[in-house]
Amino acid sequence: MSDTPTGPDTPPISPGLILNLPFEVVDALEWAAIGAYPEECCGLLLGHVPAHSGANSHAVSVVKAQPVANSAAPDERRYRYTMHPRQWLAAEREGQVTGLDIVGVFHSHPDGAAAPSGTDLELALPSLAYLIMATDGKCLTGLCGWYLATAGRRFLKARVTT
Amino acid sequence: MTVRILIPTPLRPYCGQESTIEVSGASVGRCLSALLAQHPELKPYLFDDQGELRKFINLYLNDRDIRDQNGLETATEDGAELMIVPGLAGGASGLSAPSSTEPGSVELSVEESLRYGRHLMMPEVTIDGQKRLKAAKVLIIGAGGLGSPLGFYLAAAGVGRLGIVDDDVVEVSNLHRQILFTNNDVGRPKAEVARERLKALNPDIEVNAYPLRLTSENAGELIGDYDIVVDGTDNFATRYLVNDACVLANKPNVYGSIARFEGQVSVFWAEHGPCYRCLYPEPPPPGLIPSCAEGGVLGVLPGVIGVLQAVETIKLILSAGQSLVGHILLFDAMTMDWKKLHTRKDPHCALCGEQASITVLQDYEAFCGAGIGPDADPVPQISVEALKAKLDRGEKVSILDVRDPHEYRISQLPAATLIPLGELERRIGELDPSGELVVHCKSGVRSADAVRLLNRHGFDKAVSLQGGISAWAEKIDPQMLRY
Repeated sequence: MSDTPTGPDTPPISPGLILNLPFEVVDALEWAAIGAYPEECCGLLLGHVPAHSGANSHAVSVVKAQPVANSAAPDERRYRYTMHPRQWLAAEREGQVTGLDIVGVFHSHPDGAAAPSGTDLELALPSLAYLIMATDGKCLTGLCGWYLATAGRRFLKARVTT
Repeated sequence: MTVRILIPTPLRPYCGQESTIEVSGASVGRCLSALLAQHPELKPYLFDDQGELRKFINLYLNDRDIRDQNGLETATEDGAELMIVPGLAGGASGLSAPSSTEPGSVELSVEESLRYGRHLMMPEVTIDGQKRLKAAKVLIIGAGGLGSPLGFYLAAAGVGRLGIVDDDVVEVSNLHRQILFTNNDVGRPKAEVARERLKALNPDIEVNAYPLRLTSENAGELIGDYDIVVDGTDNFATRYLVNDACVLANKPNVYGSIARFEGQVSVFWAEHGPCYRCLYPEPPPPGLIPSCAEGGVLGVLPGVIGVLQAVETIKLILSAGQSLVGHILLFDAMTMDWKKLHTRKDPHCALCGEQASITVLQDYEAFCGAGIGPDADPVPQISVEALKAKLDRGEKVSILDVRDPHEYRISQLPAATLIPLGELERRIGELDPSGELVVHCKSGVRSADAVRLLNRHGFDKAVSLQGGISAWAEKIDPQMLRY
């Protein structure tokens, strides 16, 4: 097997994901989650395609949390988020200039847990970091990183560092 | 026709980390086929098992969504750029019942971590979810067929405070479905026995027994102490009372009902969807929908429905999955059909509509017609003792049984003629209108209807047997089989 991940058995963000969030990114995430309360906020995590950081783990450095408008139906935004594909398109285009890749997605669970729901699992993509914030509208009550397991459709917990 | 396909970062591991791949094809579909021929590992991420493009995959040809063009048939041109764009969606999805106790303020003991270990390891629950369960307060209305399984499972799941409202005592006829109770409990208050059983299952939780009837006077106060109400009632008056009290207090109402072989489950929560009145503005006429006591129920059916109510309750507490708010699930045990129907909030609902007229709890016995209907139009009756005396004296009395044949096979009165109520009008010529006729059924409801029908056809001496064959078995013939 080559050192470069090439097949579905060796996606770049697995196994063992370490998600590094600078303080200003955490601030931006908190601001987004509280600002959107009681609705869910959502957005893209921009950074660099992960490089090996250990025998069995990969580290993702998030450089920027870019909020995206939640385009779910107004009466569903308390428990659903949808990002318009054009937002992804725009971020990819911008990334070609700035050198930042889309490394993950964030969203909030108002009055909920910082854990993925069944919907999150159903709609999750491989090789993306999923950051979920729980909020009570006043502060973040939880923040956890998740990623899709290589085998079987389930989420594994990432280590979040700042 | 060369087309550049732009691969989004999450899919690059499946095509050699390339961000751009050039293929040839005259349409978007052909270009994708060419891409998959080079990188077959991509296929499960682009197409589902039926070969349909996955819901979360969008395709933009020169920055235009192909859905706005000819879909996969959209023609390409040389040098075009095809971008694969993931649509991102998700969310808590599960509606979250507001907790009056801050889940962050509760802790789990070592013993609790052992008890709930299989929950803690699930990413959809975790220790945070278990704390939410511990902080949750759920009021169960009715400790019967539905209340039994849901009480057991909510207690087992570690719901921190359970309240059980029921003013009944355990009867032997409850035991074929109400699994909270055993033979030794017959005659004891259901709420008290339920409390004992649930505390025995899980001593860490608080269980409050309310051996009383839920009324318009006490409902607000009782419900006010809890976050979620689960409706396990068996009559329309209490069902409307539970619904109205929940809407006025803005609490979710996890609803279940059963009849014979069929069951229904939903979550009524006016803030997020319809309430029970949006679906059923008024109760059915008294007697149209038989209760379990009148129509019977398959003993295992409340087990199925009650457990589903427990599932919905736990999802509300965990804020997990998709709640049945805005949906009703129908189950037919005979055909094993499950149907999930959308339900709509009625903007004109008298309780939760835009111009609601109901702002306080009402008199639900009157609303649901208890006390009107049959009793409003009394018919002549005879007691079982009086009938026995007549028969003992050798008086000539004809007895008409208007039950169904399968009931007749359980027990019969001496020399009774069987004509089921539904056939009576057609077969009325078989009876003598001049003689005294005692009509009976199981408990006296159907026989009263029969007497009214007979009176209209000139049977002036028809009377209804008070309490039906059940009263006869209880007072006159204890050896008779009962049901």
